[in-house]
Amino acid sequence: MKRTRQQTEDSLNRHRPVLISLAEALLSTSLRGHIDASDLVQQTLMEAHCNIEELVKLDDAPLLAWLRSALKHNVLDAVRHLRTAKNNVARNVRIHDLQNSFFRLEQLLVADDTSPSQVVQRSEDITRMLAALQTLPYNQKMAVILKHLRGHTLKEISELLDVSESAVAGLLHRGRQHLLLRMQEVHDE
Amino acid sequence: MSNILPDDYDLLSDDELAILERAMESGDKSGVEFGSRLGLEYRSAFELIDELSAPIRRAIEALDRPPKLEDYDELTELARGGMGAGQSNVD
Repeated sequence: MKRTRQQTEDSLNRHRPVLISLAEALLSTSLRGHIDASDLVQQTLMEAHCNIEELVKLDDAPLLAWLRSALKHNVLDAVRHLRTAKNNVARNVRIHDLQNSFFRLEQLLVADDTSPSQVVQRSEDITRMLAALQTLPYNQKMAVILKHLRGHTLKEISELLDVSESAVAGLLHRGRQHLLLRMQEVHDE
Repeated sequence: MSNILPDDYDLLSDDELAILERAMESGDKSGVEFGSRLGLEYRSAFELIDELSAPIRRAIEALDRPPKLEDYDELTELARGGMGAGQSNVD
């Protein structure tokens, strides 16, 4: 069903925090010093606005898939641009692995071990969590991203954020607490 | 989604939380008091967020690994210096 231009624009704005969380998870701590996740998402949304006549034909799930694909190209372009500028951090990034990460993400979001309705529900829950991440204070958000989205240990996060392991545990606990509360609020709206 | 967060959820100290966090991380939960209400609620929140994060984590986990070379076991980082990271490998 075709949506109005305003509905699609509202949908794009709603997906902004989801895309920022995704970009922040994909960029390593060292790359984030050179590439701004918000800039990549802004560019992605500008491209979406340029293609709005096509995007009004899409429902929410395919629209988000389109945005993920556009974000992928922008992340890869940003890393390639840094590499041509002979940036030492970007030179250590394996473009192939980055491409594969996006490919695997699309596969995992529609994993076939669950029913179609469960896939939709899980995808909505993941989207709600990614959006809620952007409402957390910076250190809580980074602790949760490093722990749950990038799989770092308590010790590694302590070194990356330069705080004690106990402090990281507190950040993680309060971060998860706020995430669940925010997700509940959005669910009830 | 049920409300799993009571008013006194913050009663766990950061040091206690670190013990729970390490137990969840290692998978060795013996000797850790998850049986208490706060412990169970902590574990439930951890597992819910971790389960939702899993597809993204699995998708990007290769990004932080050292590159694989054919005929060699996985590389392990030995040290870092001004010229980059030194890695060991075993044929």
